[in-house]
Amino acid sequence: MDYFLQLFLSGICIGAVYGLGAIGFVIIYKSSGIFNLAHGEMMMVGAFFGVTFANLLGWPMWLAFILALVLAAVTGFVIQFLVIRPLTGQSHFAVLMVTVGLMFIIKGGTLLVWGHETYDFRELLFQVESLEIGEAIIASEYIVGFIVSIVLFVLLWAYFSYTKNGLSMRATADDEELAESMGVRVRRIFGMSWILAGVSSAVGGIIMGMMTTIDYNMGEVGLKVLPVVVFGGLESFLGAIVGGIVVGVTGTLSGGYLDEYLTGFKEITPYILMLLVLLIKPFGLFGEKKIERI
Amino acid sequence: MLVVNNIEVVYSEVIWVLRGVTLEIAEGSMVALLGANGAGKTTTLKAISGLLWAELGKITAGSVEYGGRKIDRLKAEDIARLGVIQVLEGHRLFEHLTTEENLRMGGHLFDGQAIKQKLDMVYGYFPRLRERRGEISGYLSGGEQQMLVIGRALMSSPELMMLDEPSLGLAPLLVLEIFDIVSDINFEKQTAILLVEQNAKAALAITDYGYIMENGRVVLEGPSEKLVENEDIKEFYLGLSQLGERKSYREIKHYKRRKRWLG
Repeated sequence: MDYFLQLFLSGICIGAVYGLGAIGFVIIYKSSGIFNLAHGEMMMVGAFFGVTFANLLGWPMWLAFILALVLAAVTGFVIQFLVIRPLTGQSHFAVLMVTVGLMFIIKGGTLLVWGHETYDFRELLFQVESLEIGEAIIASEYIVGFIVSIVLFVLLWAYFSYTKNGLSMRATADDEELAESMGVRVRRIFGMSWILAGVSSAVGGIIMGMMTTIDYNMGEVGLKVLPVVVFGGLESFLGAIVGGIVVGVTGTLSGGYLDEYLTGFKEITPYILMLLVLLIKPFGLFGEKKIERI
Repeated sequence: MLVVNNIEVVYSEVIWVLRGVTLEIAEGSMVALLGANGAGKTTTLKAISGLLWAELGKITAGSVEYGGRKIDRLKAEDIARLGVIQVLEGHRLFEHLTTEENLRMGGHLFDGQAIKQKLDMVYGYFPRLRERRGEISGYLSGGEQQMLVIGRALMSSPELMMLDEPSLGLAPLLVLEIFDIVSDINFEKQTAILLVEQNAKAALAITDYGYIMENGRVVLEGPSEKLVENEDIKEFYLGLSQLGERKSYREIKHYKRRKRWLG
C-alpha cells in the first residue's frame, strides 16, 4: 500500500511538471491555433537560462529564476517575430513544420552555447520540507513543482477566461481575419502569446531541472507532453494539468508495477492512454469540440 | 464622408477584379451596392476595410478617403478603429465563443461600463439574442447568427457600417425584420450604411442611393427611387419584364439584349 501511495504521489508531482510544459503549448494553441512542437526545447532553454544565472554566475535562485523568465520572454518574442510572424495568414500546417525546424535549431543552439555538460540546480526555488504521508515521502522539489504549477494554472486560466485581453486572444485563435476586421491588433496578440508561452515553458523547464539533470537532450520531454495535451484537450488549461497528472500517475504506476515484467513499458503507457481517450473523446477530455451545423 | 476614388484591385498580382470603382457615401446615408455574383462588390468592401491582404489582394490604383484622410494604406485593425466596420459575408462568427462573448469582442475597444450599456442597446434591438446570450454561438440558427454579427458591429459604435449580403440564406420574413432593424439603426444612430445585396428590391426600398456594379465597374448609379424605375434595373435585377403582353422573340433572349448602359 505504501509503495502504491509513493508511486501515486510522485506521479502527481511529476504530472504537474508535465502540466507546466503542456501549459506553454496550450497558450500558443489557445491564442493562435498554432501547434508548437518546439515547446520541449523552449522548456530546455528556460532551464539553461536558469542554470546560467544560478550555477555559472552564482546568483541566488530567486534572482536567477526571475532573470531566466525575462530572458525566456524575450526569446519567445524573438521566435515569434522572426519566424512565426512572416507566416501570418498561411496554413497552420506550414507553421507546424516551421516549429519542427525550430526544435532542431534550438537544440543545436543550446549545444553550441552550453556544450554537452550536465547541470544541476544547487538550491530550490523556495525552501519547503519534504512531506511524509504515511510511509510515503515526497521530496521538496516535487512539492515546489506542484505548488508552482497550480499557481501558474490558476493565473493563466483566470487571465484567459475573465480578462478582456484573454477574450481577444481566444477570439483571435478562432478566426484571426475576423478579429482583425474588428480592430484587434492580431500581430500584437501573437507576440504576447509567444512571450507568455516562453515564460511558462521556462518555469516548467526550471522546475523540471530541479527534479532531474539539465542537458541538451532535455527537450525530449516535449514528446512526453504531446499525449498530455491531446489527452486533456488542446486548448484547455484544466486539461493540461489534469492530463499531466493522469499521465504522470499512470507512468509511475506502470513503471513501478509492470517494469519487472515488461521493461520500458512505462514509456509507452502515456501513448496507450492517449489512444484510448481519443477513441471515446476525440477532442480530449476538456477540449473544444469542432462545431458543425447540420 | 467616404470617397472611393476610381480604385483598381488585383488579386495575386494577376486577377484584375476592380477596374475603376468610384463611390461616395455621405454621413448618415444608406447606400446600396448591387450587382450579380462576381461583380466585385465584396472586393470593394474589403478594399475599403483593408482586408484584401488576407486574400493576397492589393489596391493598385486610385485611393480611398475617409473623412478627408487616405485610408487605403492602413491596416484593417486601424481602419476598424476609425469607425469603419465591415460585417463579413456569411454571418462569420467566433464560433467557439458564446453569444455575449462575441458581442463583447465587438466592443473590445471600449471599457467595462460602456460595454454594459452597449450590450443593453444591442439586446434592445435584438431581443432574441438576449435569450441566447450564454450559448455557444456556433450552434445558433442562421437568422440568429446574422443578428449576432450585426449586433456585434453595433457594439463598436461604427460611423460607417458595411453589410455584406445580410439576407443570405434567411427566411423572407426574417429578411424584412432585419432590414427594418438596419433602417432603425441608420435613423436613430445616424450610422452610415453601405448595403451590398442580391435582394435588389428590398435593398432599394430602404436605401437613399444605389450603385450597380458589373464586371468590376460601377455601371449605373442614382437615387434609389430613380433606380427602381429604370428599365434595365427592372428587367435584370427586379425581374419585372412586361407582363401580359405579347413579346417578340428577340426581346425574350435576354442574353442577346444589350443593356442600355453598355456603349
